[in-house]
Amino acid sequence: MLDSTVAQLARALAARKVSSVELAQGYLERIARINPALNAFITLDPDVSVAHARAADARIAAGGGGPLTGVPIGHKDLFLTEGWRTTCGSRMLANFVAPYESHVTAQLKAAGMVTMGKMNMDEYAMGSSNETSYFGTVKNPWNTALVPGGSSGGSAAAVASRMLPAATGTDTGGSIRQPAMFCGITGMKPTYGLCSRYGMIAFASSLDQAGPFAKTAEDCALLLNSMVGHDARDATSLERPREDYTRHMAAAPADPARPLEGIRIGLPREYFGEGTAPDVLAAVEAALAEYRKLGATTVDISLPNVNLSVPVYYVIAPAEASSNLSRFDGVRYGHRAAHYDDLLDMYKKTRAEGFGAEVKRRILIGTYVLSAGYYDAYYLKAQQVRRLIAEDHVRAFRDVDVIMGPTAPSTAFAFGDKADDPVQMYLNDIFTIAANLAGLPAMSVPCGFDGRGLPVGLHLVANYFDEARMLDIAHRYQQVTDWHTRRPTGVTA
Amino acid sequence: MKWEVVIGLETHAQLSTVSKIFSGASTAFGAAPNTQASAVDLALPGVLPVPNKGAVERAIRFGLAVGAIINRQSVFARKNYFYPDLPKGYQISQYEIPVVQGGTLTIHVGQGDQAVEKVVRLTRAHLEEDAGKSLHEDYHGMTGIDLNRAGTPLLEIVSEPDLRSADEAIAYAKQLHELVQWHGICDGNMQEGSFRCDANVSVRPAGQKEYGTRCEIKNLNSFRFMEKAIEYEVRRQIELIEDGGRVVQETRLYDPDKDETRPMRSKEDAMDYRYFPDPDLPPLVIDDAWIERVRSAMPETQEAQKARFMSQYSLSAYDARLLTASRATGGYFEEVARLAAAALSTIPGSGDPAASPLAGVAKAASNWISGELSAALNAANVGIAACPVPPAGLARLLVLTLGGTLSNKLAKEVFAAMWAGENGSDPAAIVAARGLQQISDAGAIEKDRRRSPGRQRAAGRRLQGRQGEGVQLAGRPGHEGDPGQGQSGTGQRVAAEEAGRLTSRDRVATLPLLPLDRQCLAHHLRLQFAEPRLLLLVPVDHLQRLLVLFLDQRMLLRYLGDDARQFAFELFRNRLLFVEQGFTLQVDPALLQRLDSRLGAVDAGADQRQVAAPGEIDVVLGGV
Repeated sequence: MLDSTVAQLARALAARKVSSVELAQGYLERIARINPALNAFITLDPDVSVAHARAADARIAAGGGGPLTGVPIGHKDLFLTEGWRTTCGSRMLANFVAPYESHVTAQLKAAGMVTMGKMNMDEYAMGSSNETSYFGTVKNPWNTALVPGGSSGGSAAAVASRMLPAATGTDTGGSIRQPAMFCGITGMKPTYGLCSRYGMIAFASSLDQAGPFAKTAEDCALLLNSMVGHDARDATSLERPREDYTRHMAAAPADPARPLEGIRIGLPREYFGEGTAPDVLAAVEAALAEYRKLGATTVDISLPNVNLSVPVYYVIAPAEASSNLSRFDGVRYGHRAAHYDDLLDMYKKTRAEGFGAEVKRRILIGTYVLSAGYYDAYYLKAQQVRRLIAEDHVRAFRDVDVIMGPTAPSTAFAFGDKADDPVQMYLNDIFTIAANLAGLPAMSVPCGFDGRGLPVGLHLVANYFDEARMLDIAHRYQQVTDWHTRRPTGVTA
Repeated sequence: MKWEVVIGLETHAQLSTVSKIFSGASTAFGAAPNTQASAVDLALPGVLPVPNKGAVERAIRFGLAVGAIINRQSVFARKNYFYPDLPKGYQISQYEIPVVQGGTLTIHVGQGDQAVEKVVRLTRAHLEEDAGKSLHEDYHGMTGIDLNRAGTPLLEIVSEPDLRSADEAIAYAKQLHELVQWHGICDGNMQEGSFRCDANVSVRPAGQKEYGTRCEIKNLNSFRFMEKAIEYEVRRQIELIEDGGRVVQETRLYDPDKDETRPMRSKEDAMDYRYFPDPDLPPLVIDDAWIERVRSAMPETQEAQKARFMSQYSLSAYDARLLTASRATGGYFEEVARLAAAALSTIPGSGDPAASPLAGVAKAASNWISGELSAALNAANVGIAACPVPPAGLARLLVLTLGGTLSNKLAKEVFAAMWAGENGSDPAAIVAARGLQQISDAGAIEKDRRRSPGRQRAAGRRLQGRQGEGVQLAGRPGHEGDPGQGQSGTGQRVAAEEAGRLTSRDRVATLPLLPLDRQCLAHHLRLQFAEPRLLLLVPVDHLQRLLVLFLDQRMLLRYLGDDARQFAFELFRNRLLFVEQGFTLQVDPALLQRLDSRLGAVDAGADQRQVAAPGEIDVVLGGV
């Protein structure tokens, strides 16, 4: 059961080989054994989960089940889930119980998925190591002395350690893809606007996008089928015809040995330069060799402005965050300081106590770049360069179908390694940020291990709305490799 | 010295939509606190705004009514500040690109026939949301927050400083007040705060070109207070200057009890609102087709109706102006004139068929409406739409007076009885019941018939026959019946309006990217930027240490004294220059060192006042 994919579990459920309640209980048991070592969950509510599972079983028995009915899932703790505590990894919301359900989780719920718990994360999704969570760090299941990546670290660690078959995450600058690589699983973010942001606690509104974590690209496609969809409550939600993201996978290629015949892979020289660990590059090169065997061709390309991604991101994301987080003021909900002299003092103490250091740092940076006299130099310029970065990609996709490179410049690092150096930490997202700035779909696929036995991720970026093909390109690779099936060695249970 | 007064007005008109500008909650006034605040209005985590099409449509209507430019693409921006009745910590407004730009408003300054026309230029009008209310009384030293009003749609209409007296300002405000009601943009209810003005007032010696320093008087929600506040403020400023003082730019509040304005906050306290385009909202796109749809559904303008009344009914400009004070008044008048003229024309021997009976009837109707009726409405404090005497009733009364049955004096008595609802408000029945026939002599009637049209009995009979129609007319709303005016079925109308939210359906799928500035592109292309690790050139340890001091963004200024604040800002700027570094900056290590030592002084808790002048630190930027 534990190594089963979502697709396999769904088939077993539909064939009544296993019940949803059995699945939920099995996973809960494993969570009870393993989670204390990994700290991937912030909130568990076994009774509610089992009740969900029971309802799913009834639905399947009544013949009303769909392709995800009865399958367990965990949600990053910034999706509001009605009746569940939703903390965003922050002391500010440590006791906040969501009064409504986010659009993405509501759709997964409607599909019959069983909510197993709320996943640990960097506070307000600000971090690349899960070290900023108020609820403690998440440990990497490959080596518990290392970080799982972030910000969706709990989701990635739980799926990798087989505590869950799937989980949701959000990706603002790499928060799905980088932890997917660090934990050796598959994670993807769709085109900006496909998943409604309603009910997702905003970090940077113009960059945030929900996406799935699973073992395989096929599972990601299945999950995505239920996560996307127009939502009239989000003005940036796109209205597009429904599509089946597994459709290319289901089609039989003309030459089964060369299913990716005709696919052109762009290799930006900017992503293959110095600064990336040699064994990470070696794993990526090996994956590219595999792709050539599958019939794809590789093309050297250039994205001349992507090197500006990190500075541009660290202007735009904090700017939006500084405003988005203003609502956490202690007035209506969330943490409020116990003692204060007046209104100003209440704001001051509440926010000083409620937010951690990294959140404060970004609020401050954002406040700074939006302040009078600096707006043009920072925010406006960053938005302009952002457009250049998007245009680089649009140009590239005239000649290639997918862009590939490493997901991150190095594999998982040790706790505290970069915690004292924000810039080092920020640079870990150097390859993933451009997709958020441009709004493009992207994913990370396990493609090998470094010298220390830590997973390496292959990063795929596709053109707008080309998720189905990107997922198929990842799927064909997973059909001929087994990196995505490897079990983490850092936890024994 | 002779002084010239310069006034510009900023008016907040609450738009007459049934639901809020970014949420589906009702905008109805007077509900129990916080019962009309949705998750969006409460700014719960994860909620998002979606623009109300009805609010945008009213803004377009306003733009068309004042001959302004409707921007085909305008941008919603966030205005950031902390206050408990501002749940998100920012107000969604429009900043750089408003929906409406320019336009003019023709006002009438002076009394009666002596009124002079003046054209006032408008700067802009933009859409924004209202904040909630802070209730400082009744909570025993605490403040209650009512968020029912949060998210109510407003159109902020800004005039150029074209007004030269309190009289002109009042005339402008009144004209604007009539216009927004005329076009169903705003219900104009000043008691409920649907229409409120801020006045920017300054004075300058007559003949001087430059404007004087202005003060802004906030929240003037009655014309009388506006007049008194401006007059007080003008006096205050002139006296201040004549006594050798200087006007300080500040925001002031008018206290009606003491009839004075008092400072609220000075410019030094002015907040930095950190406006930036709201990333939750794509640019507001208005296409020509939408504008045309709005245009074609617009009523005859006030000016056009006034001109038509003058030509069609031979009314004076003064009368026509009074009758076109609102669309309901104009409609009431035309209905009375039409019914009375029709009734009179069917009466045999009713005067010269070649002469238009309309002019005489119209003048009489005008006199009644602007006189007796208007006085009664004012006394009862009801609008003409809710007038207990329907147009058909007044028309019947008019026929009786014009037919000579009633003298004006008796007609007033009958009118009062109609107002009170006697005898079904039917003038003929009241006349009969009270025995009010003016003339009983048959010969006199004959004589009279020759002189003026109409005969009491015939007229009375015909009017009796029209009673059915009269009832029907009375039941008809006196105005267009814009959604949101009534109390019943609000939920249903909110639901209908919700179908009109501006979602991606209404626009081309675009990414939230700002248009590229050509100059930036040129600038950018000259640069060499091949080093992805350039970021590392910026030392960050001190930045971090500094950040420990900043417990909160708003508190930054309070943790550090003024000089140190400036210092911190400058330091921050340099620490964050990695962005700029990508372009051109060269940092002088010696200067960096000096910065560090200053920061050390802050860290050590040294007297912040000793931290050097910020000017020196700017040198670092000289490397650009």
